[in-house]
This record gives sequence, structure tokens and C-alpha cells, in this order.
Amino acid sequence: MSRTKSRLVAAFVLATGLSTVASQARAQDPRLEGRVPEATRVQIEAVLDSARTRELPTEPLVDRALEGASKGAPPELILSAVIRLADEMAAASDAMGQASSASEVIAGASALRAGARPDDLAYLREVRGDQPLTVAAAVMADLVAVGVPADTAVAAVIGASPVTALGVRLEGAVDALADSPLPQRPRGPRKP
Amino acid sequence: MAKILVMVAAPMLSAQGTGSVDFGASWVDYEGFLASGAFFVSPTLQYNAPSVSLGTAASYVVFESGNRILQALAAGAWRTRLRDRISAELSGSAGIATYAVRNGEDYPGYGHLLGRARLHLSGHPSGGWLGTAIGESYLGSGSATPVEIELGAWTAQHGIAATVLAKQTWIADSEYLDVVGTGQWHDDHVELDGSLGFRAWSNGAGEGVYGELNIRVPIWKQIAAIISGGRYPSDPVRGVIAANYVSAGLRVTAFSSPTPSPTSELLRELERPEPRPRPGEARITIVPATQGTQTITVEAPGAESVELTADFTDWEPVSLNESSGGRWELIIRVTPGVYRFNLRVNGGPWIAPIGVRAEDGEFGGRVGVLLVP
Repeated sequence: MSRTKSRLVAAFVLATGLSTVASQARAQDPRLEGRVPEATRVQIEAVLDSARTRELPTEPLVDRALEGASKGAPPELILSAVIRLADEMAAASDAMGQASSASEVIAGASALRAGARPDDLAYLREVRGDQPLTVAAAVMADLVAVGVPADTAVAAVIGASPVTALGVRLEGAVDALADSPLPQRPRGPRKP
Repeated sequence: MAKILVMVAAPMLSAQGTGSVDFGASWVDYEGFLASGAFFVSPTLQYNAPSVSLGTAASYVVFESGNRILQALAAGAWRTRLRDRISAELSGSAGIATYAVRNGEDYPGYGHLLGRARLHLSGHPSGGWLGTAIGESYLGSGSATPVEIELGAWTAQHGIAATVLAKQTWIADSEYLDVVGTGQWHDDHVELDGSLGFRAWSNGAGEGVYGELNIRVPIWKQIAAIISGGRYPSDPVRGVIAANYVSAGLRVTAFSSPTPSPTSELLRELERPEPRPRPGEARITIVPATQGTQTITVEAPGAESVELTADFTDWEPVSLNESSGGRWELIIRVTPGVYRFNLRVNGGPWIAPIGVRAEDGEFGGRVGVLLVP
């Protein structure tokens, strides 16, 4: 179990171990009332509190619970889906940096769900710097989902950056110094 | 989404195969020899994919005297990302060089085999690498074992890519340290690349400053003018002696096109027009409307009702309005982001429509994933 997941589960257990008095003291999402059973709602609120503590967006967690409710899913399945999404967002946030926007974290979590790795998101952030990653992460998720290897998907998304494209060409220049791959530049005749 | 995906992915997904021939004339002044004019022909084949590069090249040079040089080289490199910013590269090259004089005097040929490993640290917009190489260099029936270590850094800013490299080489009784800087720049009309280096320390391989400037100017379609000149140092590993030179010629690119590969197959798949939805199916598109709203359009032939439920409707069904034959619309306020949703046609099952990525939902069935850019 990952450290992030352990923290979330610990927070969840701790929070549910406390009485509903404690949870009522926190901000509650009124959209959950009447949509999920009260006991489940309290448990979901605990996950939301944990997410807030970690500065993760809570809107997608509420959305996931509402989706489960609208599809008539059992309460335990709704709760596990919410916890899973919180784990994915925590992993995405860790990978892309705590300063990532809510939409970036959501897109990153979606990419992880599609099969990308946290390292891929971290690399995306590293290369793109402060540029928004929402569209890049979403496109990477689409590529991975249709079977493109994660490495290639990352390269494809990064390739959209002119600066990084220069860096890719640069590898050729670096290699040319050592004959591998072959230099494309015109050269004078070398005499043995 | 598919169009966005293609636009973003296209620059990198295509593996590139290139075949070209350089030919022209040179004036060259080898150290210890008389200066001479020469004609050269150099064919090159290359294949570059995101993680693999392969290539082979040859060069045939005929001097005024009738003496000739024939060189050939084959090389390959494989790269993989280890984690985060660190990647590894393994490469190898093999080459031969022969010098034949017109009177039939026999000179021993040179050859080399070299294997190289590099560790790259990639950044934005700079990076660096550490590498080592070992192999075998041959002169006639004798051989020596060259060993190289190198430390380099690169940056790419304001349209200019630059590197600096320090490389120490040991071979037979010789050892030397080269420090070289390179730069590349190009626009639609010209490509420039140059290098400036000096052999900072040497035991048996000469010292001094060297540098080359290469210019490539596209002329017409697959033909470009190539001009280069400068001085290059001796290279005992590959059997090259130092020289000053000027060359001018043409490069004819016989082919340069995406080579079939799994990724280019994917690209073709993505570029294929999406199938039209059949009755009972639906296709969704989303485009910005006004003041932060989005227009969601669903193409659902034969539908009498279309409903949408999504993250941005709190998973409450919302009915779309029919705008024209088979097209249904909803104007709704949605902030940019990634959302899950389902559609329902004629009160049937909730589906993930054509036109977006779909994933297995935790609550059964498939759920569409919508990017609002």
C-alpha cells in the first residue's frame, strides 16, 4: 500500500471512528444529502476532509459519489470509488507538484486511471514548467488509453513544445560528436 | 478530441526514415601533406524513432592526384527513460577507412568498433549527460583499445541549441582532452551549425584550437546547398588526421518520410474519419459558446430524446434540445477541465458515445471522459 493511500485510509478510519458530531462541525456538501445513505455520506465527508487537508480538489469526489448514487450503486461501492479517486488525485498531485491546479490534478488522476505512471506526470511537469498541464495530461491519457506506450505518449505530448523539440534535435547534435547516430551535417573529407 | 490528439501527437509519433546523398568539391589541407582539391560523394541512410536511431553512411573522396579515400560507418543508439528526468542511452558504431594512392602503393586500412553508454539528465530548457565508451581501433593487423569518458551539458533557448562537452580519450600511448562547444540554429531558409573546440591537453595527439561551420540552404524541393569549412582535429580512434578544409556541394534527399511503425499506424488510425453513429448510438462534440458556456452537440440519428448526465450536472439527467435533423444541443456553463459523463438515447441505457475516450466505470458500464479545453 502506498504511503499516500495509507495516509488517506488512516485519515478515513480516524474520521469515521469519531462521532458524527465531529463531522458535522466541518463543512458538508449539501448535494450528498438525500442522494447517498446517511452513514455513507458521513464516511464520504471524512474522505473529503482528508482531501481538503491535503489541498486536493473535493468537487470530483462529490461528483463520483453522485455518479454512483445516480447509477444505484451499493453504498460500499460508492465509498470505495471515492477513496480510489482520492488516492489517484493524491498521487497526481504528488507527481505534478502541490501547486498544481484542481483541473490539472483531475486530469492527472484521469491519466493515471488510463495507465500513465506518476513518473510520467512528474516528467511532464518538469519539462513544461509552469505551463498548464490539463490538456497535456488529458491528451496523454487518451494516447495511453488507445494503447500508446506511456513513454511514447509523454514524448508525443512534450513534442508539442517548440523548446523541447529543439532539445530532441539536440540529441542528434550530441550524438554526432561521437558518430552515433550518424551526423547529418556536411563535413570535410577525413583522411586516414 | 481526436483532432487535438493528432495535432499534438503528430510531431513525435512518426518514426522518420531519411536517405540522402551529398556530393561536391573540397579544398583540403591535411597536416603534413600538400593542400589539394577533391571531389566527394557521401550517401547516408538514417532511421530515427523516439527511442531508437539507426544509420549508415559512406564517403568516397577523389583527390586531384587520383588518390582516394573510402570511408564507411554504421551506428545505432537506443534510449530509454529510467525515471523522472533521467534517461539512459546505449549506442555503438563501427567504421572503416582506407586510403589508396594512384601508383598502387598500399596503405593499411583503419577500422574501429565503439560501444558507448550515457546517462542523460533532462531539464527545461537545459540538461546534461555523463558518458563512457570503449572499443577497438585497428590499423592494418595491429589494434588498440580506446577508452573515452565525457561530460556534457546542453541548453535550448531562443531558438538556439547549444552544447558544451569535455571528453578525455586514451588510446595506445596517446591520451588527450577535448573541450568542444556546438551551436545550432535554423529558420525556414537556412540551417546553421558550428563548433569550436580546443585540445586542452594532449600526449601524442596534437594540441590547438579547431572549429567548423556548416550551412545548409534549401534550394528546391529535395535539394539543398551545403557549405562547410574549418579545421578538425586528429582522431586516433577513427583514424583521422587533422586538416583545414572548405567544402561546397549539394544534398539530394532521396526520401524523407514517416516509416511504417506501430506509432505511425496509430496516427493513421487517429486520422481516419470517425464512423457515423448508427441509430441508437450517439456522437458528442463540445465547443465554446459565449461567456464561459459550452455548446454540447450530440449527433443521434433517429433519436426522439437525448439526455446527458455528467459531473457538471451533478449526475442529474438533463435533456438536450433538437436543433436539426438528428442533432441535439445543450448550452451549459462548464469550466475547463476533465469530466465524466453518459448519454441516453430514447430512454435506453446510459452509454459512452463516439468521439471521446471511454473507460470502465466503477458502477458498471462505460463512462465517457470529456476534455473541456
